[in-house]
Amino acid sequence: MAVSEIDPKLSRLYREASTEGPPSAVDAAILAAARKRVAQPERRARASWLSWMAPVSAIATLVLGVSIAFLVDREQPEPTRDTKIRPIGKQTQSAPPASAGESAQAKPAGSAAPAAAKIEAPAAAVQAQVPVLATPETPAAQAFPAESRGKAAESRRSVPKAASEASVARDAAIGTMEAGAPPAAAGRLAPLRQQAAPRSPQAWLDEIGRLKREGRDQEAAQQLAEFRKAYPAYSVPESLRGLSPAANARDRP
Amino acid sequence: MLAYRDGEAAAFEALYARWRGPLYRYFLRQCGHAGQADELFQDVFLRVIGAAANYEPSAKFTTWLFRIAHNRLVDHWRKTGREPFDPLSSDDDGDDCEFDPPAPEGAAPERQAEQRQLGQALMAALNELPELQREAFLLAEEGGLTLEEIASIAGVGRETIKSRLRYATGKLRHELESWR
Repeated sequence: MAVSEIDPKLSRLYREASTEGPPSAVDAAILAAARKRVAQPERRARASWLSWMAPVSAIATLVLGVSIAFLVDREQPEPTRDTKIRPIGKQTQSAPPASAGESAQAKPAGSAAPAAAKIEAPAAAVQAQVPVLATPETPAAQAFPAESRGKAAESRRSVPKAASEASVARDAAIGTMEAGAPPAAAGRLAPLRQQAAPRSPQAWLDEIGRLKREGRDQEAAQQLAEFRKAYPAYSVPESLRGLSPAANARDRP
Repeated sequence: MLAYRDGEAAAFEALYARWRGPLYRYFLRQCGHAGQADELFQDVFLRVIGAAANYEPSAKFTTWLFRIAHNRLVDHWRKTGREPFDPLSSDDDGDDCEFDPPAPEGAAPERQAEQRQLGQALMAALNELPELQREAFLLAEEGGLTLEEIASIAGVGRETIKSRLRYATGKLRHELESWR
């Protein structure tokens, strides 16, 4: 005993007489609670980890989504300024009234215009359906040599008004685009130009015939040679066969 | 207790085996009712289990255990409307009495019967002590605590505890005089 104030004999008597203990049910309950407490921390730790899983996965998904959106946004090429493809519908709708009006004006003009208009009007409508690249503010006259531009202008001049005026805007647009583009780009645009300005074989032959009638045989022969290059299988009228020896030789059976 | 805090269940079982009797008797003597003693005893050990995670050895485990028990007992007294009585100054008899209980070992059967009766008389005398004197006696006997430790649990001075113990011992001896 630690306290000297208590008589040792009294203390001994107390210890001998004092032997009570808690009921076994209380013992079992306390020991079970103690074991439960030892087993609990693992479960609690796992539960806390699980409780964090949902918010962490939601945040991860959000971060992933935002970063992918940023990456996709950054990799998209910047669209060329003011360059757009005109919808086909508008061209098709606007072409017929123009060609109809122009053909009405062209009739009194006489000469070969009526026939050419009949041929060129549908051609113009077809050409109008071709998507046209428009760059309005680019200056002209750099990409193509002046000679070829002159030819083009001359051939355009010879086309009846109805068809030519329908294609004026298109040609101007192409010319403008070609002029504004660098040489490499102009090279790439050449096929487009050819595609955008086709001429029907009959119209071309009519033009050649007109040149012959006007006495411009040299030009007519040159045009005919080009025509044969473009349309080797097309039958050339008898009246034009005498324009060049080479052509005559090829046309003869 | 540190081992139990770190997850060793066997450490608690050893601790419990050591202190289950003393703590239970502390409550049994103070309440005088086995049912209440069971409840208080279980409650204290459940508190010990609950506090194990944050246990820091700032004092001896016994001191910590009996402080919890003391606080729980005070709560119990408040609930039951009992106010611990401390008649220190009004009771000074028994101090000079000499008590010489009979030796138990190797005694004759009639002596052993007498010893049992003496023990019962001691328990009855203990039950008659004022709560605070009895508590001081029980903390010293069951807990093996020093005057200072008992004083810190009871929240009083060392000399007060010394006086309580002296008076408690005197009264017990006085009650057992008739058995001499």
